[in-house]
Amino acid sequence: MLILRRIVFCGFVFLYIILCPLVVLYAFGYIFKPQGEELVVKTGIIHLSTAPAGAAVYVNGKVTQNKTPAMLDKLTPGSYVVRLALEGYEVWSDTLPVKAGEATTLDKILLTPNKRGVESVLVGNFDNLVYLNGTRFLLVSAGAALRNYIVYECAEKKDTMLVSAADKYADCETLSVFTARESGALLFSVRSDEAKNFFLWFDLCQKKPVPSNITNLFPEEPRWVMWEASDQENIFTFQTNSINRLDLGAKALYPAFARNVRGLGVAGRLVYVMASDGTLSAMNYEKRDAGKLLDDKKLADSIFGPSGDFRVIPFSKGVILFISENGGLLANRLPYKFVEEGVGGIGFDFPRERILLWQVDKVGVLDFSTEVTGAVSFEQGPRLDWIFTDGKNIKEAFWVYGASHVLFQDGDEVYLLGLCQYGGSHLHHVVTVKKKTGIFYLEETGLMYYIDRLNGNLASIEIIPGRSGAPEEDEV
Amino acid sequence: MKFNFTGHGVKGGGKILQRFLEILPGLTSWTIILGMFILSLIEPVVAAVMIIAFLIYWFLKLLYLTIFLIISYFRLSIEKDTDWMKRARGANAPEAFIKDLKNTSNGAPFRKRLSDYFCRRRLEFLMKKRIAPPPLDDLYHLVIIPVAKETSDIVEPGLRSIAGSTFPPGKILVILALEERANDDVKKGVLDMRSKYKKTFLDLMVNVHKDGVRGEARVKGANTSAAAKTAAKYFKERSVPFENVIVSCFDSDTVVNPQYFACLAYSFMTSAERTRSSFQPIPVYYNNIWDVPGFARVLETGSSFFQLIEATNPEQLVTFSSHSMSFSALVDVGYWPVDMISDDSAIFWKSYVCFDGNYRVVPMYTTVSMDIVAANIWWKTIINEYKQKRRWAWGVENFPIVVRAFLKDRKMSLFNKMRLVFKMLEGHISWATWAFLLTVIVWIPSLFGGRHFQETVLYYSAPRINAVIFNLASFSLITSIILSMCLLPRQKMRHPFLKRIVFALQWLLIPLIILFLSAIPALDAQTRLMLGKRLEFWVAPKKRD
Repeated sequence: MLILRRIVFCGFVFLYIILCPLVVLYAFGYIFKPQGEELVVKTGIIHLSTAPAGAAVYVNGKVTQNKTPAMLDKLTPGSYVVRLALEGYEVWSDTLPVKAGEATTLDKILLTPNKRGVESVLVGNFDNLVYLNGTRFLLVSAGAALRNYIVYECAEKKDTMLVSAADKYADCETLSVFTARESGALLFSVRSDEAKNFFLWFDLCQKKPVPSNITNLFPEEPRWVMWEASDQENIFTFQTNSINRLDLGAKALYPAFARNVRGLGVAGRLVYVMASDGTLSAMNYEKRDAGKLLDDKKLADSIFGPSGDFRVIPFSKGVILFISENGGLLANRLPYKFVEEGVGGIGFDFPRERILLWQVDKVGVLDFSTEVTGAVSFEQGPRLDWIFTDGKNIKEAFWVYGASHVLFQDGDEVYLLGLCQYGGSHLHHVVTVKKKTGIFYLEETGLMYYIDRLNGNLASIEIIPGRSGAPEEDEV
Repeated sequence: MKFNFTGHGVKGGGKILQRFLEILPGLTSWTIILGMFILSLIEPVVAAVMIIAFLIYWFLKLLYLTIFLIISYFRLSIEKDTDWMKRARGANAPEAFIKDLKNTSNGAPFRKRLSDYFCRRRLEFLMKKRIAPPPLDDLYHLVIIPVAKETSDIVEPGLRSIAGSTFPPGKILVILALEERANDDVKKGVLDMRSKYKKTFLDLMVNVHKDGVRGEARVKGANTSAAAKTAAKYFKERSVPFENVIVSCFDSDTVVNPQYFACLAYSFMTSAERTRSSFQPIPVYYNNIWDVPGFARVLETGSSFFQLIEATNPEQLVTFSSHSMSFSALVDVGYWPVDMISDDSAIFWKSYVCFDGNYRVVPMYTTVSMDIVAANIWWKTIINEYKQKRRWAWGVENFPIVVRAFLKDRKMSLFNKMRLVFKMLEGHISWATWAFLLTVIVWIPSLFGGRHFQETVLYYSAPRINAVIFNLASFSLITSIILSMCLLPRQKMRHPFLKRIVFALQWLLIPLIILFLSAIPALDAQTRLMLGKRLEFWVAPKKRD
């Protein structure tokens, strides 16, 4: 038995010595290719994943056995024309590079349906769409009077009137609407028939929204109103040169929370205040100092200039964004100024530390991730890439499908743009919406909401195939 | 070599060395687990390669062990119907017996022929070496059964099994080693059993072990050593040479098969260096196997498999649980350690050191059956199993003592010493770490490797390679399931087929079992030793329906 054990043991040791390096080399992509110029070749792979799954994969015109999600391995370095075909969807095609030992990964390919599923979700001749960013709520209205507003909860598909017809504010005309990211509350600035202005606070998370008149907390018309989703009782307003704090719980106004200011931001129970000289500090809600973020006046002046107000937006890992009145985009990262003017809005991709921004004619991605992708000997700052530059009147843009695509509204047309890090981009027209109305996209359902140009209904259209599970009622 | 086989009361440089060696296994295990975890986060490429290399090693070792598990099981099964008493008698006249075996083997079933062949080879080896086995009639068995909390319903089946041995019970001295601290019920049960079985055996003695003897810990070894000393007096008074006595130290729930003592006598007689040998049967846990939850069944079947595999490697076999040895050797080494919890393995190492490496364990292809630790509620059974496995893993306490002894010794070969130390350390470390690597760490590079790692071929190929290895390893799992089904006792029960199918399916719990009831208790034991905390001897509760 002992001899047998020793023989088997030696056999297994020999096997391990042979097998282990071979398997490790294979894991790195090395394969044995007797027909090639070199016997051992280091290969790469292409990994493809689509929504919906199950597309047939063609490489350089030849069909493979794979269906998506698929991994095409043992590919020698070079370029490959990859085509994906699925019945009912447009053919997706791109030329993809393969490098030795590396993976070319396209794990968020959205196949474009030949006919997108469309559903009318609310009937009415609507002419306005307001959404609460980061929530499931949107409001549609036919006319500016409060009585015309309908709240629609997209995930549960429930609609309710914002105010009843009998409500004393029902006939008030909307002047402006203030919202905050991820907050289900919103503030209406309205005017009555008697030309009286009111500020009405609504919490849409409540079963039946009830307007709360907080007009007496507004001694003057604010330019911005900010609050945090986690604390809807503390509201901060920015007037010329000063910030007020409103305590909705106590219905109390704390005027002059900060004076001589030209910028405001609220996040993480901190208030970011830019002083008139451009220096930046943070303080908590009780006005206690929480640190100077920029106290070099010279530097502040060179970045922010001598005048102009800024919205301060803390982003991630110490990155703070500043949006000026004229749409300039700045950040506390070199080279500080990224867009001189004209930024219409921004969207966040927190996991990848990217922001989506748009101007009238273009859409861009500003990447703050600091991962070094090579032997970079220069400091690598945030990179701004304009991913679409042929716009005419870009009004809105959303990250789609894990920030792999961008959905944007250019005039009345809506487009879906696939971002491909390997070069090619895929632009598809989605739908035409009613003139002068907006859009809303909810990642959770994979649906985009818009006002139908033909009948004025609130409609939804499928952007991510199969995610919503909604029945196809109509086609575009 | 004279060596005080204990970790207590070490002074001077030895104390520092003892402490260092106590820290070493736990520190190594923690370094492997945490090191691989951190490496998976900061250098996922390196970690993924190391994991692949480890998985290949693990798979080959699993395959290697499975081969010997099958061989060992086969060896056990061919000896299933062996008449060991006949063989023991035959060993006294080897020439005639070899002839007889040759004659009876012709035309016999394959298993019997193989069994006879092994027997013949053993006897021929003795004849070649001119070693005469001692006369069977001169042999005595001494059986020591420690009793602390066990009532007669646990102990008596074992006594009954000894009484039913094919080896004459009249030549078996049984000592019930009773702890003084045992409660009155236990004490009464012991006395009742004494009166009931006294005349069945050569004698049935009750030796009460006093509590709190200086230099002793509250461990089984202290109790059994006291009983062995009483037995030594007994044999001395009757002029029975210790060389002719085989001592078996059983757990209180041990039930032997009728052939056990005959097989032991045969193994003893036919061992070339019988007074420098321990004899290890295959422990199985069948006494209450159908009364305990599935995970406990799988766990203990795994323990039996481990012993079966170890039986094929007598060069590195160490005594475990119920075992037997030459009484002369036991007296020469100064009995079991009285301050160590892992007395079963400690007595082997103590003997190995005492006889300068001239000591071995002879595997016996016969079984002794014990209880699976159990409780009335399944989660209490989990706790009991955990405590028992931690106690077993506390065998790591031998490591620093053995290494100190090896460093002191000048007679043993360096190669042997290094091999044994490596095996001991590797055994304990793999016990504590492998399950973590296989069930947790293996996934970390893919889950948390970061963007750069995701852009490599390795990110995609590593999980596929790992999956292939795991699939191949299922061969071992299937083999284990089949063998465990074959080993199970046939018993009258309702829905036997259904029960066996459920038992087979319970093997799918293996990933959880090896992590929570094997690796973590082992890591717990090593960490305690590392931190200088001691383990109390814990008497495993037994339960039979």
